[in-house]
Amino acid sequence: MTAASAVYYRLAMGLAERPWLAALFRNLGPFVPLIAAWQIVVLLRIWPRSFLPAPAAVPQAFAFLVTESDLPGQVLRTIYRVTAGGLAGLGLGVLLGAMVGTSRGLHEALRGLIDYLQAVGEIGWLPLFIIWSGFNDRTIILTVAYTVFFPVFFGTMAGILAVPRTLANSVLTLGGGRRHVLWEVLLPGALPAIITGFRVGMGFGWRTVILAEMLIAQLGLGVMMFEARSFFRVDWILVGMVVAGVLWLVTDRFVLLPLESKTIQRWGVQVVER
Amino acid sequence: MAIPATSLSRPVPRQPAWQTTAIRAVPFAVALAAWWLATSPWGGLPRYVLPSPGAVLDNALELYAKGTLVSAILSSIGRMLLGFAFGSVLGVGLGILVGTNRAVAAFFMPLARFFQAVAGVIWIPLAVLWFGLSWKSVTFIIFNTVFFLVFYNTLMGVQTVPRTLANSILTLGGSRWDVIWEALIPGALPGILVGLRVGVGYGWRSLIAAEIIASGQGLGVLIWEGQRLFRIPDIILGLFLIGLISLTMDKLVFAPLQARTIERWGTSARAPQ
Amino acid sequence: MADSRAIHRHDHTAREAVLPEDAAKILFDGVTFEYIDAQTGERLRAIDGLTAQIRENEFFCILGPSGCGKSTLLYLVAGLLKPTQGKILVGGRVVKGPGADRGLVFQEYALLPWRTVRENVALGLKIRGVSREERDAVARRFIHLVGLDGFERKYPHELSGGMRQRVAVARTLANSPDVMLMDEPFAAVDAQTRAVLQEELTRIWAQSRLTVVFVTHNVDEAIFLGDRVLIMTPRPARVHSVIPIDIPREERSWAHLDRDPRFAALRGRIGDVMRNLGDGSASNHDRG
Repeated sequence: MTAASAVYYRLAMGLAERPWLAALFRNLGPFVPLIAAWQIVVLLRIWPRSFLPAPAAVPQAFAFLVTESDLPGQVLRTIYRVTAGGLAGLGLGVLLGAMVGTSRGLHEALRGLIDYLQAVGEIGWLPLFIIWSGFNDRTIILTVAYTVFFPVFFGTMAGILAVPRTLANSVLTLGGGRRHVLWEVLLPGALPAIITGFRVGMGFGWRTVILAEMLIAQLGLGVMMFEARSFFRVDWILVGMVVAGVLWLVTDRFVLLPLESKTIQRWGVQVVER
Repeated sequence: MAIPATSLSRPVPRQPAWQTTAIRAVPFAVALAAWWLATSPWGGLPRYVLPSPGAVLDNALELYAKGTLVSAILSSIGRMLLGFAFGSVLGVGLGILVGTNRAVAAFFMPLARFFQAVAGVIWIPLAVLWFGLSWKSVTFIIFNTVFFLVFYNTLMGVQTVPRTLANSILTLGGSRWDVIWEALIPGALPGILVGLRVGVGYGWRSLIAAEIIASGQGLGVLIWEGQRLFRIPDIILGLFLIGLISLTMDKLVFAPLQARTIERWGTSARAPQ
Repeated sequence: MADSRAIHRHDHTAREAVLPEDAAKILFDGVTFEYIDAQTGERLRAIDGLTAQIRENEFFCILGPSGCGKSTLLYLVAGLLKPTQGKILVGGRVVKGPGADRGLVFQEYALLPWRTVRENVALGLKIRGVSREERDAVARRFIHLVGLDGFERKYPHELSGGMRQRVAVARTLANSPDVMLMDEPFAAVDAQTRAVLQEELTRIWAQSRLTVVFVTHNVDEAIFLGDRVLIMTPRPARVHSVIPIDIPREERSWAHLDRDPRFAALRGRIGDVMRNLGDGSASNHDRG
C-alpha cells in the first residue's frame, strides 16, 4: 500500500509541469481504486444487485434521469432554494453579527440565547416552520437560512472582535465617526472570517436543503433521492449523492475558496483565531 | 478562543460568574414573557399557532407520567452515544494512521474531502434501503456523520504538525510509536477536537433527521408526529430538549476539553470545514 | 546653566517659565489618568497631575522609560482617552474626543490592510467627503513627499516596515492637521532606516511648520528631533524636567552630530537622568 502510493505520489508530482492536469489527477485519481474495489465487491456477489449496483450502473442511471426524469430541472430547483436560503442567512448573520460584535452589552446578553438557538438546530424547528408556513419553498428556504445564519453570525462577530483596535483608532483620529469605523475598518477586517463562516454554513446548508426536500417537497434533488427509495433504486440514490457532493465541492473550490484566499492573500490578513 | 479586546469597547474588569449567568438569562426571560403574553388573552395568539407555556408544561408532565418522554430521550441519547463512539474512535484512529505518511495522506485527502462533504443526512435514503426503518439506519447515519467529519479534521490536523517536532523526537532516540504519541496526536489535537465538536453537534442534528424518517421512537419522532398530528406542545417540548441536550454535550464536555488542551498550549485549529 | 539645574529637580519644582495660556498650542493642565486593570480589577494611576505646554510649530519630544504612560498621554491629546482629572487644551479648545485637527501616527502603523497605499493616504479626505479626483491629487502629492512614488497601488503588507511608516506619515499629513502626534513611530524599524526616516521627518516638518509631539524612549532620537525634550518619571507619570535642545537645525544631521560635543553632552546628561529614573524610581518617589 505504502509503496504503491509512493509511486502514485511521485507520478502526481511529475505532472507538476501541467498544473491543471496534475490537479485533476491528484483529485480524481484516488477514486479509481475505490471504484475498482466497489466493482470487485459487486462481482463477488456478497449482496444482491438491488442492494449494491455495479459502478457502471450509476452513469447509466444518470443518463436515464437526465433524459427521462428532468434531473437538471430538479437540481435547479434545489440550487434556487439553497441559494435563496444561503443569501438570507448571510445577510442576517452579517447584520446581527456586526451588531453583537460592536456592542459589548449585546454580546454579553445575547451569547447564551444564540448558543441555545444554534444547539436546537434547523431540524428541531422544521416541524414548527411547517405548521407556521406550510409545505412550500418558503419553509425550505427558511430552514436553509437558519443553518447558514449561525456560522456567518459567529464568523462576523469573531472577525470584528479580532480587528486590531489601533485600526479603528486611526480612523477616529483622521476625523471619522462610528459609521466610518464600521465600513472602513470592522466589516472589511471581518470579511475573511465572514466568508469562512459562509463556506462552513453553505456546506451544512447544502445538506439541509436536501433533507428538507426529502421531508416536505414535491420536486428537487432530495425528493428524487427519497422517492428512489420506494422504487428500490439504489443507483438513483447514488446519482443523487454524487451530484450533491460534486455540485457542492465545485461551488466551494471554484467560487468560495478562491474568494476567501483572494481577500486573505491580497490584503495579507489572516482569519484570526487567537 | 481568547478574543482580543475590541476596538470600540474599553477593557472592563472581569465580572463574577453569577453576574454573567444573570445577564445571559435575561433574553430567555424576555422570550418566555413575550411568549406567555402573546398566548394570553391580551396577546390573543390562537392555540393552533402557538400554545401557551402552561399548556406545553402540562403536556410535558403528562408525557413524563406516561413514560414516553423518558424513553424518547434515552433512546435518542443511546443511539447518539453508540454512533458517536464508533465514529469518533474509527475517525481518529484511521485519521492518524493515514496522516502519518505524507504520500498516503495526499492520496486519501480528495476522498476524505468528498465524503466529508456528503456525510450525514444525504445518506438517509441509502441507509433506509440498506438497514430498513430501524435503529440500525439511525445509528449508521450518526456514525457516518461523525466518522467523516472526525476523519477529515484529524487528517488535516496531523498534516499541520511541523516535521521538526517528529524529527526532534527521533533524534532524542524515540521510536515511531513515540513520534505518534508525543508529537502527532498532541499536535493534531486541535484539529481532532474541532472534528469531534462539530461531529457531535452535527451528528445530533443528523440523528433527529434520521429518527424522523427511519425510526419509531426518539425525540425526532416526537416532533415529527407532533407536526403530523398537529400537537404543537409536543414539538415545542422536543425542540427545547433537543437544544438542551446538544448544548449540554457541547458546553460540559467539549468546551472544557478544548480549553484545557489547545488554549492552554497556545495552539489552535483551522476553521472547521 | 539653568537647564542643568532643572534636570536634577523634581517634577513639581521643575516648571519652566509659564507662557500665557493663549501662546501655548497644547496645554496640559493638571492631567491625571486612571484606569481599571482588566485582570485584577484594581484602579491604577498612569499619569499623575501632569502640567506642561507645547508651543505652536514646535517639535516637542516626550522621553521616558517604557511603560511610563507616554503613549497614554498622546492618546489623551488625540481624544481617544479622556483624562480622569484636569484638562487638555489644543489651540485654546478643550479636547473632547478624536478629531481631524490632531493626527496620530501609530507605532504599529495602523494602515488598513484592505486599502492600497493611495487609498490609505486619501482615507482622511474620503471621510471628509472630498471628491475622488481631488483626493487622488492630494494623495499623490504626499506620497511624493515621503518618497514613495510608484508604490501607489501596493497593499501595506507588500511594503517594508519603514515604507509603511512613511505611508502612515503621509496619511496623517494629507489630512492637514494642526498637530501631528507620533507614538514611537520608528521603534519597529531597523537602525539604518530609522536614521533616514528621522532626517526626512525633520525636512518635512521644516516645510510644513506643524506642531509635532513625538514620543520615544530613545535619547538620541529625542535630541536629534526635538526643539525641547520633556522627560517623564516612571509610573505614575509626572514631568521630571523639560530640556531645550540648543543645537541649530541646520547642523542636525547624523553625519555631523555624531562628532558634535554639544550632542555628546546632552546625551550624557539625559542618559544619566534616564538611568536614575529607571533604577531608583521608587526611592525617588519616597523622597519626593
